Amino acid sequence: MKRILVAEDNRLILETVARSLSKEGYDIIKADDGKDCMDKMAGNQIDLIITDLYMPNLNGLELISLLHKDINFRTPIMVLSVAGAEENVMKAFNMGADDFMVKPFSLNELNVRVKKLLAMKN
Amino acid sequence: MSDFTSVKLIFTITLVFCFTFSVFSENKPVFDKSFFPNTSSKSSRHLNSFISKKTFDADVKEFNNTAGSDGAGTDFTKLSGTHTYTALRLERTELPNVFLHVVDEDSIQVNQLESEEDSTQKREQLIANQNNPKTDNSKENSELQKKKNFPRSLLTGEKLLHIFLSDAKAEKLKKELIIYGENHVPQNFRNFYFALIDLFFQYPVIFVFVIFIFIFIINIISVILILNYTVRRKNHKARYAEVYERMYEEVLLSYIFGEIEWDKVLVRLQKINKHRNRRILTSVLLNFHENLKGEVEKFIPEIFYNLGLYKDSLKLANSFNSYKKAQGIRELTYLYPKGAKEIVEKYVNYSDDMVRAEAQMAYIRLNQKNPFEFLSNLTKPITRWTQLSAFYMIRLYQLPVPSFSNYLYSNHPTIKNFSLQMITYFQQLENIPEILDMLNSRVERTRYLSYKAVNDLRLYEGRVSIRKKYRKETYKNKLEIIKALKNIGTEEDFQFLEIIIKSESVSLKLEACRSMYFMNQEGRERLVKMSKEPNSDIEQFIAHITDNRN
Repeated sequence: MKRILVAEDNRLILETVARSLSKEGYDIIKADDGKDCMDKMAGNQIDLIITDLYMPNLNGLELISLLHKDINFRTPIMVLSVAGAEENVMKAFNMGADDFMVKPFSLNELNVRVKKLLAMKN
Repeated sequence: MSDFTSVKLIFTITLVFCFTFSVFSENKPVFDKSFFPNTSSKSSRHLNSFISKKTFDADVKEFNNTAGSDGAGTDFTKLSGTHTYTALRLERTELPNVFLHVVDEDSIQVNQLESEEDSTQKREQLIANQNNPKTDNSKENSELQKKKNFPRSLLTGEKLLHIFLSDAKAEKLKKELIIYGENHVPQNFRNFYFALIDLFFQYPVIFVFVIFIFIFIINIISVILILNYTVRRKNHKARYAEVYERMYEEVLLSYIFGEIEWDKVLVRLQKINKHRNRRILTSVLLNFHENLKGEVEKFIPEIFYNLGLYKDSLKLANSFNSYKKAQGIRELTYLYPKGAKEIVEKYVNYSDDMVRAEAQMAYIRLNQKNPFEFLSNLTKPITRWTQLSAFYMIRLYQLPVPSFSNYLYSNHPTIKNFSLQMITYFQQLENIPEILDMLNSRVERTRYLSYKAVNDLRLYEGRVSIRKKYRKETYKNKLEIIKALKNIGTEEDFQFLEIIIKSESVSLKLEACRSMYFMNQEGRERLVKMSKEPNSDIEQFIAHITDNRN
């Protein structure tokens, strides 16, 4: 079973994404912010990270940058943010994000993108 | 815990104060040693009526009760406060056969004699008593006297004054203060004012300080209690909202993901008949709407309607409070579009900016076929916020963009300006004549946006017109005209730009240089030629505009 780590400070979004992906048969780990995400990364084999850009303690961009400090890091990262301006999208991709979805988003679209990212990883 | 410790400390201080107060309350006021003989012929009824007036406090009424029919020999020992004022007032009443007699330092007597004949006799008797107070009052009186004198050893306001003023002057000052109070202090505060004067002249200064400290402590206690209450209430509200938010999110997610039926939703949504809970549920639904679209989106209005939450939003939209009204419009727009359509139109021209902006955005959102139709009937300005939001919504919801030339002739400059910006952004080149018409607008910003449109849309037809406008334009607009000539100018404009380079301010010169330099090769050559003229700064300008950093 593929394991997905979702980092999101909005509890409603976190729960919705987690529930939607669970229904698709993924194992979901939830994190409230970037720091929590880093903590939960340790000791867990993660296949995909879905993160928000604006979070307390450690924001999405900082999280991506920290993860990519490890040269062996190969886990795909999807950004899910309300900040869909071109510069934010470019910044995220330059830092090492693999996909970007702007809120409000469709759960069906999310599921398709997740499937594709996981397939690409394999 | 620290809050409670400080409250305890303040409580202890208050107790200490109360103890101090009880000690000092033994102190009785000193009455000024005046004697007021009465010569008029009014009845004793007047004295009782005078006594029952507001100038006397409860203690004086007690005097009235104990006075007896003869009215003589009443002791003022138990009285406090406004004695000086009382004496003055009594003097002015001119009641028959009434006079005040000072028994000792701390007490006075109000005497009313039965007839004028015995007045002289009684007065003499009383004066004799005063001169020899210990003749009929024995040891007991002396003890009482000692007890009363105890606080007198402290520094009173009067004693303090006597350091600087003579007795007569201090007395005069006191009377003037009382008369001032009578003439200037409002009736309601007058007694308090007189009491303050008495306090100052009769009680130890420390006592007045203690009163102020007491008031200060009361203030602090009140502030602490109010703060404590507010914080507790706020925290309680936040906790309550969080608990129910979680619960409602959980139930709604289960419903949306098909885990439970609607009947179970109604059972599991607890306390939904409470207004506070319905507001929480509405905020949860708004949160859903803001973050999710697609298949989930259709559930939200359905839930909102089925639970009757739209009724609360309609109430808010019809509220007198502008903030609530705007909130109601917003909720209806996103969660109950059908109901919102009916009320949005009437608020598009509303007097309050916030409500108007919300209604205009709602209109754009709800009328997807013709989202800017409301601009035709707009009588109030369209705020900057609405303009930005409208632009954002066009892009976010892929709304159809109308021809904005329809709104260029609106009476309101903000609508003209918004339309000009939209024409420029969406490159509506079919509106060229209307844009050129706007060059003659009376409003500076409208003209500025027209020059900008001419420049950005490369409207060569406007070249001559904008050049003609230059002389009478403002600095900002002049700059925009020169910038436009860089893109639409021809050789015919060189002479015009050369005049600017020779005569205008540095920034206009610099911009004119830039326009000439980047227009074509001929412009560059003419600049080089000009730079060879004496006292010319053109070489520096060229260096500046060709520097990549600028």
